Amino acid sequence: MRHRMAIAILALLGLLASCYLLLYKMGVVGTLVCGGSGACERVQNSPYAQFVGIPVAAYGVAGFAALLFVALAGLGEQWVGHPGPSRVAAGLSGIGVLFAMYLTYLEIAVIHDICRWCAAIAVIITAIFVVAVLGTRSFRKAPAP
Amino acid sequence: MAASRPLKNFYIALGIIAVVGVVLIVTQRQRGASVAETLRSAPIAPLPAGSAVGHKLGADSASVEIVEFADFECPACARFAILEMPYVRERLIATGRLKWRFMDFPLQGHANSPAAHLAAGCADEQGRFFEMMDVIYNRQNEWAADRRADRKLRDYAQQVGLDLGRFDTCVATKHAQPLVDADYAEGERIGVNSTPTFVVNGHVWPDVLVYDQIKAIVDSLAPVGGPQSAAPPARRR
Repeated sequence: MRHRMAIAILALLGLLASCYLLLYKMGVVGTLVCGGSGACERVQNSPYAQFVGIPVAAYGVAGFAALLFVALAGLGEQWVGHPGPSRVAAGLSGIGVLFAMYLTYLEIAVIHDICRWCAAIAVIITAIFVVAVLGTRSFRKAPAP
Repeated sequence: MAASRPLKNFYIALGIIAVVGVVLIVTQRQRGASVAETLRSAPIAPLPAGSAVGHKLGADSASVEIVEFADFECPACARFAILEMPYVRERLIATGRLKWRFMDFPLQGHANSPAAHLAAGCADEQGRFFEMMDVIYNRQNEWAADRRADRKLRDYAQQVGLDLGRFDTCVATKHAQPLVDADYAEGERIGVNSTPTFVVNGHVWPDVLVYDQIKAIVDSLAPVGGPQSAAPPARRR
């Protein structure tokens, strides 16, 4: 179940980073630590930092919280031998990867700035996806007794 | 029970990461001291109360004033107006913590900029300067390289709901031009040589500002619940 532990830790890191960006968006955190370039603020203050009227960071908070919950639930005794939580994590993170790709495209091609926090979150969600897929495949090779 | 020990260690590690992360976020502080230092070392440039009045936003009672010298054809100015200014207006100006003054500074070499500033000045005569400014910046790519920019500007005037008869007369007679010229002369007087240039409570800020810096400035000079202003007094030259 190490892959679920890894997913939980990665999801927690993603959740913290997303919370940080959401708090900035809400005006609670006035300054983003971003290497002094202002790129994070420009990205976060752009019209693309909202999706269907909701801050993109809020989707990150919800998504990573869901992944953390699924990973922790998957460590419970009743789910340890089941591939279900890993598949759910793979599905959720797969959606997250697509969303992260779209946002990274906007940063590069439209906004012309790279937000380091957004890049870190994109790496985290991609790592979760890879770990979750590998975890799901491990059940096929060695089904639980 | 063999599996319980690594699981216990895992939960401890997860808890430590959560606590460290929350503490890092909570202890995030404004860089207030650097704001005060920057203002102390910045050149002083108080604006006269003559004809260079600019275009004002926000409550007169706000203790922090930022004056922006900008050119409508300047990409950095458009970037600031589109990406940063909406948050400045919503969070700082609308809440009464900051007043803003836009000063026309059409740079030489920008062929269509004078027409755009005149058009915005004419919109100001009908009380729609900032509405016109928003459209001009958002459509900068459209009119800046257009040989018939005046047509585009007239379209924008219509979009923001101006009385086109009055607008056309104002543009034809250049009725708003003296105020644009006065703003420009004021910028030259204090040494503005690039746009956007910001003057914070009478001190020329040495760099282009972004929202988080502006918030840090306001938090530093007029903290919520604190004294009205801790700004270094602007001395007249």
